[in-house]
Amino acid sequence: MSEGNLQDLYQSILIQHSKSPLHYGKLEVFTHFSEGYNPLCGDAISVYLSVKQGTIEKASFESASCAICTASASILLKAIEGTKKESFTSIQNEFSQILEDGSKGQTDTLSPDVLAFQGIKQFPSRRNCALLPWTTLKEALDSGIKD
Amino acid sequence: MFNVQSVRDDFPILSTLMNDKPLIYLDNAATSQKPLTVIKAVEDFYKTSNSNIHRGVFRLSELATARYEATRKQFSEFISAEKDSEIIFVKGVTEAINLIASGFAQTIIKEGDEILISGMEHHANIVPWQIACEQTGAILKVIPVLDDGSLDLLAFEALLSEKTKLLSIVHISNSLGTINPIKLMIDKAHALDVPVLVDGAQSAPHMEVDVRDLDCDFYVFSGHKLFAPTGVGVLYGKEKWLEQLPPYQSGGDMIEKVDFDGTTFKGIPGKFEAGTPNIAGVIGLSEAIQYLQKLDRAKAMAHEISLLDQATEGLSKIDGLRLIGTAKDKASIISFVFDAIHAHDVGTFLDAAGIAIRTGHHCTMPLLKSFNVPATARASFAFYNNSNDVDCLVESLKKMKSFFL
Repeated sequence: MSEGNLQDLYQSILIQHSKSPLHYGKLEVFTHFSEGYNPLCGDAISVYLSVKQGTIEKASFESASCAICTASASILLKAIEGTKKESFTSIQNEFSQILEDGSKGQTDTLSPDVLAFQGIKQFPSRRNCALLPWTTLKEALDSGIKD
Repeated sequence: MFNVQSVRDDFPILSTLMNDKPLIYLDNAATSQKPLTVIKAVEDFYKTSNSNIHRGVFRLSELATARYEATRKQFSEFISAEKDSEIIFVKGVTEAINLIASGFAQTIIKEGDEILISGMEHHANIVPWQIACEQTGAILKVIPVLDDGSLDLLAFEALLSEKTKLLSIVHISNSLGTINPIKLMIDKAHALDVPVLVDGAQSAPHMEVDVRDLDCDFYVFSGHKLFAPTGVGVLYGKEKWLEQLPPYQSGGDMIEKVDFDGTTFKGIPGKFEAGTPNIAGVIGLSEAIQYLQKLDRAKAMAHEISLLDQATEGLSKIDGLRLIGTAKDKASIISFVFDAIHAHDVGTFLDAAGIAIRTGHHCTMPLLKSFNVPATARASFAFYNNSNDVDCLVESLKKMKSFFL
């Protein structure tokens, strides 16, 4: 690993998302909510969803988290808004695939920004940072409980 | 002057490369590196002396037993215990505190009693007491931490009462480096007949410990932070307390006689050492103690403090960096946060420069919550670190700022 690898991990698109995350803040009205924690580093994220007739109409998050986690949440919530609840699994699988096999170089449903996560393969200890928003969103969808 | 280069040569890992850079190891509060003598002692034990202890009548087993028990004696002298039987070998501090908490819950703590800990405890000195309180109906009380990372001693005195059944307190904070005035706290607690457990995980590696001078009732520490292998540690307890507490685990080697009608236990220390212990770990610990005894520990600590001072000065000059824990009395542990860069990202950036630091909550989530930060970056120095290590840390952090901001 070197500073070159660091550039792979912290690609400028990822840094941009982490500095100015999309969909940041608490939804005034939401139907689904979950909090996720990364016990390794103490990161915490809250995900808010407003789901109507199976469609995720609005999605937002708040977090105290690292650049990787914040950028991942930003890209995820942008991607998820307007989609059907059921499509989450396939979106999640696509993201997992990018984390595991960075070489693909293209995306199906996710924004190409997500390819910025290809470099994470070289940093196994940071994988959970990228995954935390995704597991938290999944819990929110499963719970359906408004907190 | 402390000869740093000479001790560095004793630790083989310090001359290795990490990410193509010379390794700069600044995570000593998590675990220390091991001198070659310790590594060789463990290897030699398995090569020439391996046998179970307290069992065999053959020579090999007798020799292993003798070495194991000699280490108990050596330890007893190392921390100035009154009796060798007051030294119990355990896995580490976590097991030691669980042993005491479980014993107190079974025999001493009753509903409405109080256990007093502080706001800067490691999870290992919080969770066992929460469980003990749940089991007994006792109440966990917490001494607050002031903004500079020192304990609120006035609050401490107010919290101590006849209801307090134990004060369990960290000697040196693993997250902040604060050295707590434990002698004074022990005196105050004893004035009300409250026994005191001292978590020495961070103090044993940095200073000489004299349990009789401290007059603590329990003192616990982990071998792996004391330049010895992982999986071995020591629980010191005053005989009167160890006699009162029930066994923590049971099975082989802790009994005198087993019958289906009933079992009688060994006395201390055997009562607390069920099953085959970490014999090789104890041998390694013995070697680590010998290594430390050859050092001038006062000079070693002065050297560590000079590294702390250098780091404090260097880090304080970096804009956007805030130190967490600025108590007057500190050991060589320094925690910091950046306004705009998360600790985890700091850790990854430094790693690329070969610098190993800890990032996160350091198993002290309530403490970090009180400072209103989710995570810090923490550099912790041992006597084998040098001034160049601190310079590299400071320079890399400066470079990091231009990378992220």
